[in-house]
Amino acid sequence: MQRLLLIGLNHTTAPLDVRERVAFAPSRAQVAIDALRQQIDGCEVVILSTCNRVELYLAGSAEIDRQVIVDFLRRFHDLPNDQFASHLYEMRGRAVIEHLFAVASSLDSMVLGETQIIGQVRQAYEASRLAAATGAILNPLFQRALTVGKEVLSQTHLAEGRVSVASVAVDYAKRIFDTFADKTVLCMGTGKMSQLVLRQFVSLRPKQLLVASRDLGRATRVAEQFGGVGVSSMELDQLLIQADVVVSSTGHPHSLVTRARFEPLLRPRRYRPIFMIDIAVPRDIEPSVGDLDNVYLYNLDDLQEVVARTFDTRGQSVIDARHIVNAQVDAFLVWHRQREIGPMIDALYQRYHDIARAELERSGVKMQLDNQQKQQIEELLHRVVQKMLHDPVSQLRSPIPHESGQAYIHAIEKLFKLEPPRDENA
Amino acid sequence: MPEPTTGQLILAITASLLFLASVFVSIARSANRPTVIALAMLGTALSTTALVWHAIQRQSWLPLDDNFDALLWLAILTALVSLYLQRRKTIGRIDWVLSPIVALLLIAAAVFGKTMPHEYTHTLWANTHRFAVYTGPIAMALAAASGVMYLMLNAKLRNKHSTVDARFGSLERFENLTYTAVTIGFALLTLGLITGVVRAMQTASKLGDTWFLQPKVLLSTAAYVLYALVLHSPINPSFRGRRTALLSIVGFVLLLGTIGVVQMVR
Repeated sequence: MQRLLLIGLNHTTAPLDVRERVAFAPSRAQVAIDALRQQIDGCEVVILSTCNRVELYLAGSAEIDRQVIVDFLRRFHDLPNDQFASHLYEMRGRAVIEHLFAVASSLDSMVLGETQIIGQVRQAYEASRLAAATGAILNPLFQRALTVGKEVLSQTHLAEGRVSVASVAVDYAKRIFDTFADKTVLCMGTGKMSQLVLRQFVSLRPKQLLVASRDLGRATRVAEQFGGVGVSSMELDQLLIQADVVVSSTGHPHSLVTRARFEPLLRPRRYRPIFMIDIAVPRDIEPSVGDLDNVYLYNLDDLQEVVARTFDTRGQSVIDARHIVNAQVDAFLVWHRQREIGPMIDALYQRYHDIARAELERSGVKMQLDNQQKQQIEELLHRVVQKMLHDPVSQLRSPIPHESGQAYIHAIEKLFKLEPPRDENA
Repeated sequence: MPEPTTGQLILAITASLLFLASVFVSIARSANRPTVIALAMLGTALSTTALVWHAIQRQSWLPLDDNFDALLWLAILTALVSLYLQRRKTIGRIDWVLSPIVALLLIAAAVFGKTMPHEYTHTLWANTHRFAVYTGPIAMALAAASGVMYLMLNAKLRNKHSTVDARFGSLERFENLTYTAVTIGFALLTLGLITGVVRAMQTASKLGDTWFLQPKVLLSTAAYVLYALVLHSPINPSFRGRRTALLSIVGFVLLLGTIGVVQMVR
């Protein structure tokens, strides 16, 4: 576990404009994993990039330097400097496991109890696994994290009565518009998140529901689920003139709706109020568009902050969830230690039993023992070896800090002249 | 024309205090709506008692016969509109703006009614004029209140970190209310201005040749122009939203000035 490293940033350490610059678009995640593995030879990598966090989980045979990752992020995202690095956090060993389990349990999310994060962790892990970028360390770690996430959500009340970003967006829409029977809702993008928001707006029964995408077929398929119409995003200006509510989550690397593009549309819109929800990271709508009169622009952070404030009365659920996470971290460490030192312990027992058997053979000939006596002494020696090794082996198996754990392993290998355990991935 | 008695003045002042108290309770974080409504209803009842008492005292049930009577009428009708809107729960917090206006009118009734009682002539033009110029401001008070609420809600929505009380209503609702109120108020003001001009022409010798330069004429004309701009916004939609709300508030301030001038200058 000494070689396990996490470097990342999230909604608590970095504002949206920093997060969007270091976010990995799904289409480029694979390239990033390959590039990182080329740079750090033989390391395991999982990149978790969501709206709220960008985290790189790494495990290698040698210590990985933080600056290597900072340089990689700067080069990969073509950033002019290392200013983003001040927003990064770094964890090693046990802290990484605790953090990942908390992330998968939504304890580190802006919205406690949100279930989407488990899917995002799974997706990130699967992407790395398919790229053969995970191995002996990250495979069991992520599999256990997913189990912990499910356990927390099913065994605590964390997810009950949660307010979603989508429902907050609808609440705001109701503060702007009195009725939706004469309103047009435009959804830019066909992703999961925009569909979640769209589902909430459908309940308001708008006059028209448009789903825009470059892929008209996909737009039509998604729109049909909600009783809407699929349109091509090539006609974006015309769509923005029509729309009263815009939900945007395209995954486009740059702003689609800039102030320069939208301001001339105000007049043909007859200055009607427009509610714009930009849940994309990087953002689809330039923030300065929100400064225009009768434009109400909310991005993901704006909505999530409102959501987060609604969770001040769920202290007990959080405590329960933390208990589960801590217990699971200990259990995982014990399991992992056993897995790590198992071959060494086997070798230790084997060596002492071999010594005992050899001594018995030698002494048995001298003492002229019959088979029954020989068997009795063999059992006695076996028990003695077992008892002698019981205490040190128990100590080795206990969840002790990693640094001293590694020292124990080294010491035992040296003291008892054992071969180091063979790495499965080697 | 008898001046209002001390008892009637105490009733008017007490009623205004009750309306102010209702606003404080309504704005409080732990607002108790029944208490707010009870205070406003008690204030309305006390104002009505003062009005009836004054009518008995002057032995006439004809409304708008003097300043005290006219301002009490304005206050009571505005209070009733406010109570009605709150009862419908469509715009639950409109009392934040309308109740202070009612309190202000009641204080004005106590101050101006006592210091300078006026007698009105009873001609068709004069009665129509008085009806129009006193009912028009009620509609405009509603438009201004709606405008204030629009600006408050707009500010809350733009400050994205604040939560918005669902009982506030919506921007669209406030905008529609402003238009409706301004449309009604504008019609009444138009009637008031026309009948006022006719009345001024009839009594030009009394008012002098420069009657059109009187502060109340200038103020009411300025308010009239502003309301015309508000009504113009469907044609020129760049005026809609915040600008319409601001204009309706400025227009009402001018109307309040006009009412104040009417009480002091003849």
